[in-house]
Amino acid sequence: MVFSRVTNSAMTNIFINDIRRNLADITTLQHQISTGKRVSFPSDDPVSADRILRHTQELDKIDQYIRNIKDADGLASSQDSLFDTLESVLMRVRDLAVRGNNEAPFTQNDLDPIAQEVDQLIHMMWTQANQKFNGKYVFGGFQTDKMPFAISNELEYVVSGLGAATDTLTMPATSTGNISKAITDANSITDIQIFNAGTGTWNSVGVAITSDPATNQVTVAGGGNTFNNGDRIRLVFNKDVIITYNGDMGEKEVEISEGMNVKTTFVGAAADASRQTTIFGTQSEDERTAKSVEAFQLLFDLRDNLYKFQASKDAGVDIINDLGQAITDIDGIRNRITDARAELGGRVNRMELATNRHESMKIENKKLLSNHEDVDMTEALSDLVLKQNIYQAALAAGAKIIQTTLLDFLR
Amino acid sequence: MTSTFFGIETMRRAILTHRTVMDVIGHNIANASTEGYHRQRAVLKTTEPFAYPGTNITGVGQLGTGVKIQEIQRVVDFFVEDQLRVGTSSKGQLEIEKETLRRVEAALMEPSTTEGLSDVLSTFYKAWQDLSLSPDSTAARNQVLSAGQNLVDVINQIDQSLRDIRSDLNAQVRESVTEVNRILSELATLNDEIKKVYVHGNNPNDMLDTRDALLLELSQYLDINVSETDNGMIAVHSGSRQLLWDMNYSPLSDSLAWDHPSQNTQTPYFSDVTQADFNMLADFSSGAFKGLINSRDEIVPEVQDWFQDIVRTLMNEVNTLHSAGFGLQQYSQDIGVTTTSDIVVSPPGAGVGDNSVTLTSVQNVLIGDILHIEEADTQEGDGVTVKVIRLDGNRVYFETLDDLSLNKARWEGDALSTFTVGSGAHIYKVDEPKNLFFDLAITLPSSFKADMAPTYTSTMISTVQLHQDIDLNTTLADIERIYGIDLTDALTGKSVALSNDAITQNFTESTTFGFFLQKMNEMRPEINGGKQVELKFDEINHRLVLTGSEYTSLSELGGKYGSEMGIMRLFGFEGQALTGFQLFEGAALYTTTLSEIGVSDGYFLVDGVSLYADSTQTLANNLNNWNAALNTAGSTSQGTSIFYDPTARRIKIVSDHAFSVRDGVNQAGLPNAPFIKSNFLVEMGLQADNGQITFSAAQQKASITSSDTGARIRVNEALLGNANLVAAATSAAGVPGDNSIATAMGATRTVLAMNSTGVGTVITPNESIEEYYDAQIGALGTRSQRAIVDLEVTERFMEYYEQKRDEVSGVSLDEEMTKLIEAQHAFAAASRMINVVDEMIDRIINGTGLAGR
Repeated sequence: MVFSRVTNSAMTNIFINDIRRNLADITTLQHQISTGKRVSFPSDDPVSADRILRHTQELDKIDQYIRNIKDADGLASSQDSLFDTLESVLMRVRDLAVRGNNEAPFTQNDLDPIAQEVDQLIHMMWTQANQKFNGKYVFGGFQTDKMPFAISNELEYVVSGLGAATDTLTMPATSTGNISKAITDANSITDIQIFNAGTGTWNSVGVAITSDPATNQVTVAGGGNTFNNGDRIRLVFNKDVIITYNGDMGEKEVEISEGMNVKTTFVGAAADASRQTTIFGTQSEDERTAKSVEAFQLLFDLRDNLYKFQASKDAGVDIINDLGQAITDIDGIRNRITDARAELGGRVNRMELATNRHESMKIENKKLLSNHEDVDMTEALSDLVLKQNIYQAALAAGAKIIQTTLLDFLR
Repeated sequence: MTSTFFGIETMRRAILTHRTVMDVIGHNIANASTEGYHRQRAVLKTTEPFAYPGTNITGVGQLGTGVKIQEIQRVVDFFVEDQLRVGTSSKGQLEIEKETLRRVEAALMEPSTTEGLSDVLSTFYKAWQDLSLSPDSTAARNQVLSAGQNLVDVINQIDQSLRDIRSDLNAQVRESVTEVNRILSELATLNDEIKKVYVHGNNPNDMLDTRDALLLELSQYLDINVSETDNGMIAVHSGSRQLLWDMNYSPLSDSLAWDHPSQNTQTPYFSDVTQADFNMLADFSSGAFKGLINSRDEIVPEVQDWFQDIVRTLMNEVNTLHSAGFGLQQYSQDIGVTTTSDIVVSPPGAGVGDNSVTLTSVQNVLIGDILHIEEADTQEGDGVTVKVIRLDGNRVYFETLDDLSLNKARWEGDALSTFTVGSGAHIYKVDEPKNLFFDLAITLPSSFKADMAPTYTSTMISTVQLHQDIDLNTTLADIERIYGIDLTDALTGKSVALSNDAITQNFTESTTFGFFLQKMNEMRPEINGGKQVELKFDEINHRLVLTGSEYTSLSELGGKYGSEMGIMRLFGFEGQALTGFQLFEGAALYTTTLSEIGVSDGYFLVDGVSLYADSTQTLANNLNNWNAALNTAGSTSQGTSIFYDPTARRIKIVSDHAFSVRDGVNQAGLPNAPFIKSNFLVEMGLQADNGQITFSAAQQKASITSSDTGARIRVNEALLGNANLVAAATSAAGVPGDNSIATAMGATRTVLAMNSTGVGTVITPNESIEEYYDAQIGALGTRSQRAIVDLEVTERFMEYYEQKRDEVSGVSLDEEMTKLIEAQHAFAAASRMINVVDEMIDRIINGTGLAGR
């Protein structure tokens, strides 16, 4: 700046303006240092403001994904230990089946205890199938608040194929279920109830019932009870005979990364085998009141075969092959569990990979965020010292000059 | 030979002159630090030399006679003064813009970790993610609602802040107008006084300084051009308008903008700055006014626009998902117990068949309801969920929902896949919580007490420009003369009779216009449901304005049949014009479709004719159809037409007779079928038929950017009352484990829904809401930064020119002191000379003729 004529007010004005600018700079630096933040308003650094927002949002997203994964992980561990237990139960059952298959000479006394143990193992499996995690049922699909597997000692079916009204029923061996298999002794069936369509109620026959495991026939003596075609019959057994699935096939998904969902649940059972893999197999809708879910039905059949081995043999039916078949079937169930475990392993792997990625992205984002957001203390502090020096020098120089006028020198 | 006292006279002049010079110096010293002071200096000139008369002059020739002060000159550089004014204007504008932008930044509170929109939005999304982990949890739902509340609070707070900034700016406009007028009046007075001084041949330096200071102050508000007229007076222009000339000035006024979109008379409109009926807003090119107008009408609304876009998009995304979802199922209504035989439920596709149940009363059952049927002895929840498809007396027909494999059911041994519920079953009605998550909160600003019930009626305004000679004091006779109309009623001679049952009023020729209007307003209070129809004379724009509210009242206003108000037609009223809300900028007859305006398909009624609004068609096509329907030959609606006013950007309905407008009626003809009602009238700003207030997207946008009440959002109160209604599942059957809605809601965080390159228009989305917001914050920051930098540049400019002014016109004490010494010496020398001459004369007087004594 070239000065031609300088007045006192000019000098003071320039002095004031320069001091003002110095102070403004110092104040900005001071504010930055005391907050540690470079950007307090978007106008301080618009590009950084944008980036700061983005990185903060990214970090938020990543935190949530990590949280989601943790939650899914917890469930996965519990599912894994469930599968473990199921596997050991099935192994035990398999052992029993092998024993049952190999033990010779067979007497019913030898087989009964095996059958009883199988029964207990069935109940154990049923308990495992109804396990909860965090208050929610694990194998129920979306119906996490209702027990998925129900156990019952009653079977129902509709009478058909009778020539005329009779008081003797022959349990069908196939098609409507394996009801015949469940008749293991003369006292298998403790009650028969007939549905009265008129009143809509189930009425007990009220008299003693004898069941014949050899012929699979059930006789109701006396009481004026007869059975006709189309009657709906409910048979009450002396032991649990059916396990049904009351859940659905819903699979819960959780977002573990942007646009990436992972399934976290396993479906206990399904109505249609072609839909997807389930843990315990399918349960045909038609036979729901007469036949269990696949896996359980196999176990019930094994148990009942063991119970009526002798009786069948007496009737001329050798069910040793069935026992052999049972071993293969149990292996089939075990394969299901193995497949499920593999699937679970795959999911856990994915989640682990995602977590690793998230962790490194987190560090990356934090670093970038800091670049934009944080003040470089060293730089700021040395800047501050520099500016302070300038300020003080300006004050000193100005003070000296604006005070002197001609008046100081005139007489 | 000069006269005896010649020398003394010369010295006398010297003494007096230098005395004055010292006084001028003294004045400079005294005002060394006065703001806007230009130093003065005495310009010395020799007095007229003494010349001997006559032709044969010998001797010295012209003899100097001393010194006089020619003038006391004010040292000023006009170019610099002008530049300072330019700089001040610029600074005035930029200061306001910078301040506004800083306030907007503060309102948005970014970047921050806890208070800005970014943070609460993030928390909202995360709450949904947490719900997706535990879709059966009420606690997680409460978290979602709490996060929603916080989000809504921040949104409304930001919205309010932006509005407040705008009304603040508006208040400043008014204040500035007052200030400018004050300055102008002072300038006019000064001009007068300055002229008087100049006429006497003097320089009114100090008054000139004052005037310059005033001009500088004025230039802060608006850009001015100063030109000189005679006798030292000035004229001031701004843009194309003259503000001051000689001793007259034309003041500015702030007038309320008339065609305000909201048409809500309880709200102050924004101010226009006018001068003699000329709206100056577009005329300003610099100065505080420009800054205020820019800030109020461009900068802040731009921010409000994209903010509103975000809120709207968010609301739509969330609501679309949420209203398709189901919360934790509530079996709220126990419809009853069946006593009849089994209810047989077949899967979808098995035909309607016999799936039905007879109830004792079907009062609470409607088609489409979801019912849940359970056996008497099962645990709650076990059973089957069905949808009602037909009602026949007390018999309810239904079908099962969804795929049965997803349905909880106990199957009984039948060949068909059916579900039979034993008699004695309970039937529950499932609350179908198709709830919105956000809805609009309509609030009035707290400063308006008047009518707290939010009824929005459109004020019908009809205006006519009056002849410039007419004002409130004009007599009816003059009006008749001016317009060439006859206000007489044939029966009563030269007077106009208005009557309702109670009052008869006769006007005569000498009745003033003002009185006439007053009486007209008093005469018909029962029109308009008891609310006044009003005639107002707009002095500023010289118009007669007819206003009324509630559309049904329009049948009473104007018109050529019946009503005494028909007199108004004589003034040039065209009948009623319903002016609806202002269409968006860029709305054009042949390219804008009704759906872009926000109008839905359906019917509405104008003048008894049912008109169909086709939202897929352009404005022009629709208008043609409507006008054709209205003007079919021989119909009573002839004379009514609907047109689009492109300057005002409004759709107007005009007629030469009274007419009414109503919502559409049942067109389908079926007894209980819902009629298809277009929202056209609501879009026009009219109150909806059933008393409920609806806001279209356009109205929301218009109202949220205007200064009056507008739409803000809140969390649906039904959800707040019952957290279990928060939806996480996509189907009723999937409750409680189905988390797909919650997952999808969390995933909307990354859904591409917006595009920051085109606010308000339809463009392919390429950004998520967060990305859009981040970009806008960045843009705001850039704008603000630019304003700060621009201001700094202007300040430097000002500093330079202030320095320049000071160079020329500033007082340097050293200089003045030096000059003072000079003058002092001159004064001393002159008095010395007087002594010398005095001695000489003394010698002559007292020493002559006394020789030898």
